[in-house]
Amino acid sequence: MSGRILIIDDEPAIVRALEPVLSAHGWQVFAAGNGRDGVRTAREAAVDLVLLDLGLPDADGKELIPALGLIGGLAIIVISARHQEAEKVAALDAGADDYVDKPFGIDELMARIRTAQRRLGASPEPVLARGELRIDLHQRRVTIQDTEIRLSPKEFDLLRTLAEHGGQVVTQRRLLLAGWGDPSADAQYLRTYIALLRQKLEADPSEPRLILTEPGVGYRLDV
Amino acid sequence: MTSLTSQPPTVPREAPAARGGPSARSSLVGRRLDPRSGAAARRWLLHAAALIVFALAVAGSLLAHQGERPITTAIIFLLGVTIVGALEGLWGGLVAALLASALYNFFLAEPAFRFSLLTLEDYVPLIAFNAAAIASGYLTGRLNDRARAAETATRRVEALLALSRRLQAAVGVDDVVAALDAYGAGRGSPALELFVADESGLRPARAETRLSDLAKRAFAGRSAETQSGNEAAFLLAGTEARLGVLLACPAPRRQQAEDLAALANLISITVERCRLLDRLAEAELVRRSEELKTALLSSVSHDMRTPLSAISASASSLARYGAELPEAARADMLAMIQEQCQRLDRYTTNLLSLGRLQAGLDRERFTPCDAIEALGAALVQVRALSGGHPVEKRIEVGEGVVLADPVMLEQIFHNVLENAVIHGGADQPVTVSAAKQEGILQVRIRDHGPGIPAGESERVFDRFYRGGHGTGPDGSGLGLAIARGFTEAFGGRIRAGDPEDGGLGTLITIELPLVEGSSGDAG
Repeated sequence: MSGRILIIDDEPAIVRALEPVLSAHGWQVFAAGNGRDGVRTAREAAVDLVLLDLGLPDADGKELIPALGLIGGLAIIVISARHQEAEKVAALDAGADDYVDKPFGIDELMARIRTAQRRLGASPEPVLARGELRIDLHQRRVTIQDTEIRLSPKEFDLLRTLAEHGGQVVTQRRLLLAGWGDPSADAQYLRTYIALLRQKLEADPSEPRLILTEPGVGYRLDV
Repeated sequence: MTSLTSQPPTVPREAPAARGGPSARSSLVGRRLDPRSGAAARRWLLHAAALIVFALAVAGSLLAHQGERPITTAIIFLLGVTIVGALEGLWGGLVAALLASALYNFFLAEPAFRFSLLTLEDYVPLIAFNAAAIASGYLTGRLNDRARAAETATRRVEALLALSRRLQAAVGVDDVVAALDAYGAGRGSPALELFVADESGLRPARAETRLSDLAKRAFAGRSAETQSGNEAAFLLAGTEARLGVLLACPAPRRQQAEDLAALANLISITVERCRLLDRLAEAELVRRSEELKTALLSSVSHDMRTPLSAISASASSLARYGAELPEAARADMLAMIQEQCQRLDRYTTNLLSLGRLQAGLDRERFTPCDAIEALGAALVQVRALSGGHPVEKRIEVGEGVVLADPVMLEQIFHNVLENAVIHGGADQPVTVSAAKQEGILQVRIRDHGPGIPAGESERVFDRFYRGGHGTGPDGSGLGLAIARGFTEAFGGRIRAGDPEDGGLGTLITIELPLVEGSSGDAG
C-alpha cells in the first residue's frame, strides 16, 4: 500500500538517494527544490506524504507547515539536523507529524513513513498490543500477560496521548497539555510521571523499550 | 624659567638625570613659554610707546609755551595723557595725568620753575587743567582696560570652544591629550598633564610623563581641586567612578582656575564617552564572535550532514534493498556516494583554511609561485568535479609570478571557479581570463548565472553567506570568504560585480601583485 510522496529538499543528492528505494516500494515520487514549488506540488499532485527539509533556500522549512496543513490529508515528516531540537519542536508544534535526523539510514526513514501512513486518515486503534502489553483506550485498561496494571488517571492520559500518536514522537508541550492542561507546566512533572509509567510497564525501566525519550523534543511510544 | 617637572618632597632628589635631561619635557616647556615671552615683549613695546608719547607731549607743550600759546600747551598735554591712558590702561593714565599736572605746574604755569601760585585767577586754569588731565587719563585708561578684558575673555572662550570641539571629536585618550596640547600651545596656559584611571589604577596619559604624588593624592581625595606648592590638580569625576586627574603647573590663578575647572568637566565627559565607546566596541567584538560561532555550527550542521545523509541513505538502501533495485539505480547511488565523499573532503579543506585564516598566516613562508600554473591546475580539478560544465579560457600571459603559498593560491582559483560553476546556470559557459597590468596580475572569472542581487556584491565574501537563488546545490558559504582571505594575505584584492558587457551573470576579479623582475608576458 503506497501513494504519492513529495520530497522538499534543495539538495539533489538526497532526492537521488531516496528516489530509487521509494519507487521500488511503490511510491510515486515528486521533488521540489524550494518552499514555493513544494507547497504548489503538494497541492497539485495531491500527495499523501511530505518529506520536508528544514533548511530550504527560500524559506524556513517550518514556515511551510501551516500551508501544507491547510491542504489537508497529508502527513509531514521533517528532515532536520540533530542539534536543532528547538526547530524540531517548533515544527512538530506547528503541525508536523514526525521527524527524522540527518544523517539517517533508509530503514529508519521507511519505518517513519510506514507509521505516518498507518496514521493517515485512520482513527487510532482502540486496542494497542505490543508483545504481552495491551492498552485498551476505550475501557482505560492496561494489561501485561492479562494482569491488569493500575494507572492513575494522569498516567493513563499520558499513555493514551502517546498511544494515539501510535509510534510518532509527541512533544513535551502536547504531553503537558494532555496531562496538566497547561503546556507551560513544569517539565519535571512530566519526567516524574513518565518514570512512573516506565516502572509499571517496562521490563527494565532503566533501559526503556516502550516509552522512548527523544532528547530535547519529547517521547515516542514504540508500538 | 624653572623646570615644570613636579618635584614631590617624598621623591629623593636623585640626580638631574631623573628629572629628565634636555629631552621631550624641555621642548615641551619651551613650546609652552613662547607665547608668554611674546606677550611680555608686546607689553614692553607698549610702555616704550607710552613713554615716547609722553615725552613728545612734553616737548610739544614746551614749544607751544615758548610761542606764548597757553591753550595749545594745555591741549597738547591733555592729548598726551589721553593717548598714554589708551595705551597703558587706568593706572598708566592716572600716573601720566599726575605727572603732567606736576610738570605743568612746575614748568609752565606762572611763576615758572616752582609750585607756587599768585592769584586766584591763576588757580582756575590750573585746576581745570589738572582735573581735565586726571579725568581724561582715568577715562581712556578704563576704556582700554575694559577693551583688553573683553578681548581676553573672547580669547578664553574661543580657546575653550576650540578645545570642546576637539574633545567632542575625540574617540580615545590620545585624542584628549592632543586637544590639550593644542589648547596649551595657543595661549599662556600652564603646562597641563592628564592622568587617567584604569583597572590597574592611575596612569599618565602621556607615556613619558611620571605619575606625580599630587595627582595620586587628588585622585584619592574628595575635593575637585587640590593645590600643592606650584601645582594644582583637578579631579576628573565621571557618573560612575573617578576617571582621572588633570594636573596644572604652575597652579593657575583666578580666571585660569575657572577655565581649568570647566576644562576638567569637559575632559571628564570626553574620557567617559571614550570609555563607553571602548566598551561598545568590545561588546560588538563579542557579538560578532558569537555570530561566527553560530554560523559555523549551522554550516557544519548543513554542509557535513547533507552529504552524510545522502551517503547514509544510499549506502543503507544498497545494503537493504540492493537486490531489488535496477542496475542503473545501484550505479547511480555508488557514484553519488563517491561524489558526496569528495564534497565532504572539499568542505573539510575549506573549514581548515578558515582555521588557518583565523590563526593568521605567516608571510615569511610565502614563496614565488606561478599563478597561471595554479589557475590551470584549479581549472583541471573543477572541470572534473563539475561533470563537463563548459569553461572558456582566455589567458594572455605565459606566467605570472606572485609571492604566495602554492596550495592556498590554487585554492583561491578553485573556490572562485567552483562558485561560478555552481551558480553560473546549467550549461552556461564560465569564462576565465588573465592579464598583466602595471605590476598586477588580474584574473577574471565570469559566469552567466542570475548574478548577485544589488548591494550584495561585498556580502558574497562574508563567511557563511549563501545566495538565495533557490535552485541547485548551494555551496557552504565559505569558498569566496576563503578566497578573499587568502588573496588579501598575498597582498591582492578580490571583488565581485556585474559583467562589463552588461549581460547577466557575475564577474569576479582577482588582482595579485606580481613579484618585481619576474619575466615578461610572452604568450
